[in-house]
Amino acid sequence: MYKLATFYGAWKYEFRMQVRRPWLWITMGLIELIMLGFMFRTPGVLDLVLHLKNAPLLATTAYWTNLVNYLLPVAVAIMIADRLPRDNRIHVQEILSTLPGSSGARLFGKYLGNTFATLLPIVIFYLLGILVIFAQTLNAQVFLLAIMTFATIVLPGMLFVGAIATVVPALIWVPVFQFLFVGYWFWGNLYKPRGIPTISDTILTPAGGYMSRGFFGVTVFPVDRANAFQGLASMVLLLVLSVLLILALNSYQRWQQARQ
Amino acid sequence: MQIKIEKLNKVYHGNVHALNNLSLEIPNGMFGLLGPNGAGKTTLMRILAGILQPTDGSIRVGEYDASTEHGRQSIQNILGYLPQELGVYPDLSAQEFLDYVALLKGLRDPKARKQRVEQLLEMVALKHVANRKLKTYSGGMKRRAGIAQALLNDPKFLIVDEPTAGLDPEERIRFRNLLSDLAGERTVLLSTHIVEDIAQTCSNIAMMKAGQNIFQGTVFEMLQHTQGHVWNITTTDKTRPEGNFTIVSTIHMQNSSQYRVVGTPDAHYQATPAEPGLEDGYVWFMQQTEQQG
Repeated sequence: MYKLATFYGAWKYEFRMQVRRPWLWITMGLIELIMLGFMFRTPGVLDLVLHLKNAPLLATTAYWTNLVNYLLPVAVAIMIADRLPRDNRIHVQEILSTLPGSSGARLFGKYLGNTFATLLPIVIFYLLGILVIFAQTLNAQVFLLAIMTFATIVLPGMLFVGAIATVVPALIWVPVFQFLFVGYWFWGNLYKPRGIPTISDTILTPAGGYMSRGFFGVTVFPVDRANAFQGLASMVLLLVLSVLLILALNSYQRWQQARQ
Repeated sequence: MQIKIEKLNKVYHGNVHALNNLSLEIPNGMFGLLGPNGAGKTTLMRILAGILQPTDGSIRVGEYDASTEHGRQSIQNILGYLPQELGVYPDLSAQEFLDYVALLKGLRDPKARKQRVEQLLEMVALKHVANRKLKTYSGGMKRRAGIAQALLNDPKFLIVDEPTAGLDPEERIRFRNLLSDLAGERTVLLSTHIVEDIAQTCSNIAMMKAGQNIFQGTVFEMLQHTQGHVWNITTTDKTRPEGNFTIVSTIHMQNSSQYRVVGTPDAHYQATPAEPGLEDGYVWFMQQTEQQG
């Protein structure tokens, strides 16, 4: 119960602090505008959007979910990266380390609170797209499909990205992590294997290609073939890795504390 | 609650000895820890708060042994800590910050938590600005929010490290009064290099230098030790008196200068004895350890 209160406290207030950051909304807004700009400059897209009722609803929803996951995880990683080092920078860590609550519960609360707060502008953007699909198709089933596709394609990858962005900046300088993450995203998720080795076509990719291809049969990511089992495997792997990363960080922090 | 520290050592990387065989007994009530910068006060506070691990030695806080994990956790349950460099989340209001810390301190019942937060905000006179973001607070207001967070769990042992540094006189007085009011029910360890803060609030004190305890006792005992070592010297020329003493204050008048000195002035200065204050005592003990060391 005590752990639960600690988790809840960290979740609630980390969420609140992150969601109040003007830069979160500015960064997400800019990237979303860039994405929309690219989309509508692509020949045929506008025409496609205007005639969505002729397209299969599941594929349309899954495509839109894929597009949301194309660049925005980069912004998620960048926005989460400074949250943990900030506690040291603003000297809050000293108070936090004297509190009796579980450090693991606090860390999980911090991680999830920040990740879900960072996802909020993405969810709003995503829902706007879903509303456009609904307006074109007038099929309420789109909302159910939106929940399904978002939960399976976007969420596991975002939780993994959130975990990476919480853990790695505890070891390296935040701007270095942010720079490396941008490179990793393009190399390890969007790059179609053509000579240079990449992990973009493995189940390790948090872009959601395996879940999208495996569960819904379509994807914009470089995953040409995947079945439902591979989709599930990718999803479980990302979630398990996220938990393991946070547990490892907690052990590292406790070890560091013991050495002080 | 009695705190007993025995032969405590803390050696940082690079063989820096922050604490050297420090032994100290802290009784219930307000206890002042004096010492110059670098004396090891903050290291001691941080060890007592469980942030740092001692290299060796033992600490008992009441019935709990701080050398065991269980003991440390039990101490944290009864501890309130206001660090020297107080950090707060600038984007939270005082009410939110306290609610957050209260949750982390295990105050699970929302109604009781809200009540406790409001009670403390009232006590530290921040209720009228409780919903303002902490980044808009002055240094003194932040310190008061800091003491409120330390008191959320109604601690039996309260550690306050340099609480009045950087505060204006009015805020300092307000803060000192607040600390004195708190001491009735608990052990309050006040660390500072501002002698005046100790003089106004503590009857029991210890003095640290170079990681060691150089005096422990009551303020009265300290003044007794200093009796006969504080003098006034008046000179009519402009030269400053020199000798085996420290000048603690200088008043320049129209035709003469009056110096208050601690130590043993030469007979030719025709020094007159003066009643010692805590600051004189502090200077005397520092002087003595320098001469011995």
